[in-house]
Amino acid sequence: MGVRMKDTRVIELLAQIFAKTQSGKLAWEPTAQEGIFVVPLKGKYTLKAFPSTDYLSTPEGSGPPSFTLYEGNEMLLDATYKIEGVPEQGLRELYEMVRRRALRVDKKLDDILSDLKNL
Amino acid sequence: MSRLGKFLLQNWGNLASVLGLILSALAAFFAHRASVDADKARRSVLARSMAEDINAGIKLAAEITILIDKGKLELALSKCNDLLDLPNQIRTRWDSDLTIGSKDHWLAAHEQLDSMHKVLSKSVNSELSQKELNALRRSCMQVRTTFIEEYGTAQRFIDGGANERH
Repeated sequence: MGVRMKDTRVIELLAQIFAKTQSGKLAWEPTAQEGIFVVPLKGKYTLKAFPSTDYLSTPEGSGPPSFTLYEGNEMLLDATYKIEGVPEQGLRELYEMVRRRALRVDKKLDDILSDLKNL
Repeated sequence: MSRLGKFLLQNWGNLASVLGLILSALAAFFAHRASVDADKARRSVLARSMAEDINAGIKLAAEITILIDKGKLELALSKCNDLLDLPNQIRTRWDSDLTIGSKDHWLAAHEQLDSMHKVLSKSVNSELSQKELNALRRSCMQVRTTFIEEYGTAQRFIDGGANERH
């Protein structure tokens, strides 16, 4: 069982990821693994969005989505709901935004909407 | 003695200083130009070598796409294994010559290949769903696109577009 510890840097990082994803400044991509999305950062790091917590240690994982930062193959941090101050709902909202950005859902919806309006 | 002769005799020290300054400035100018030219030549050789590596990657990525389409997933896994480390090799080998944007492209390509490798490894023991095959194809296309775009960047540099990279 993880220890709940407040980590203001992680909270700030998640807030920045949320803002930059919302403004479309982060180029999230879907991977070949269903539900896992990735974005490179600063030519050095990669941030992965997982659909659940403990995704890597258990076959399907459990709990709300989580975000993991890597430098090469080394994991730098695992941002999960287990960190105090990281709300489960916030992680769910961020993951959903990432998913929509990576799969270009809003663009496709706009495309469908414009066609529907012209019917 | 002529007036010019007198002037030269009285000011030879000053004139020599001015001449020295002009010669130093010219030497500095030519040294700088030679250094810029040498740097350009070095970068051009590096870009050519990089383009060769990338070209090999484009061919492998194309082969993987064909193998996935033909359902030869074990062979695709083997080729994916061959290609897996190339993006990181390129990124680290030319670290000081790549822009952050290019490094990000290579990082993303590595992640795509890594995820493809995991899915293809799974296919050895169980059949992949249509959804998984589609995701594999999409990732493969993403990798090919990265290789092709970065090849274009390297080629542009070789052809003389040095300023575009920096």
